[in-house]
Amino acid sequence: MPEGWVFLRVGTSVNIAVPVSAVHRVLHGADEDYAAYAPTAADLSRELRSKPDSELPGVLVLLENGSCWYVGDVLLGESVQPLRYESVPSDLFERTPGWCRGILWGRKGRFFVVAPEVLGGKR
Amino acid sequence: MNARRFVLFSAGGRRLAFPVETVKSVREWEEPLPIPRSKEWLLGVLEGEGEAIPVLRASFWGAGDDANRMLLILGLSGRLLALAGGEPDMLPPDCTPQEWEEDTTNGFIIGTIDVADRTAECVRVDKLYSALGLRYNDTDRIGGMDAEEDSFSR
Repeated sequence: MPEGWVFLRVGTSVNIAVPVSAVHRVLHGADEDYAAYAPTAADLSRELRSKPDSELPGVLVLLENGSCWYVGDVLLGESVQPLRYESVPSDLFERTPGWCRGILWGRKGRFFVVAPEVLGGKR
Repeated sequence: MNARRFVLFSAGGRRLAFPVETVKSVREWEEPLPIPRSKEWLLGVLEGEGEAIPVLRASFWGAGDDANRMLLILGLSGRLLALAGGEPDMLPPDCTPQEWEEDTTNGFIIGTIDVADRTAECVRVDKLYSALGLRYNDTDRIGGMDAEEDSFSR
């Protein structure tokens, strides 16, 4: 399990965790490059079939694999520690391997650890 | 047929009986964490010990919609499964499944138990796991499998 995580709020009830090493940049709406990357971004809430949260600001997450994702917000890791990792068996999903490999349980939230191939599908 | 002990549990409007050796614990209700894009029967997962515990939604058992009050935690070869439903209850030790009707519900309801004014449908847990697509180590003879197969064999 990676030591560092970037925590993403995807929708009203779904939070995910991505290894720090997989994240290239995070772009907020005020960032200069945001408009350039926005048309290429895939909506992660749609990918996970979760309800988007319109009250979240919306950010772009550029991954090292070249994919670009639109998510609701990024949380600072320090604000959600400590966390305990548990695996999620793949047989709980209709399609295997499942999109979620595990869960980080924390006092301030629960975060799905996403299988790498899920975040690598869009470029 | 050997006498066995069963734990009664109501779920989905049905009264179910589980061999006591497959019941690991009973918990007060806690809201499971729903997982998007998971199997339809999965209500969510609970925090476990190294592996999240899946929770089977009560409506899996039928049209009845119990208020979720308790969680019955089953275990088979170390693989845990929580059932959402009502209060559990222990049947007396001299119960044996009666009125066998095999394969009436995907094969895991394998008979009924009548004790006094109570009737329950007896669940074979290994077949329930198989119906849900839950993997477990079926070569592991520890954890109730031997006992379950022995006493359920006719």
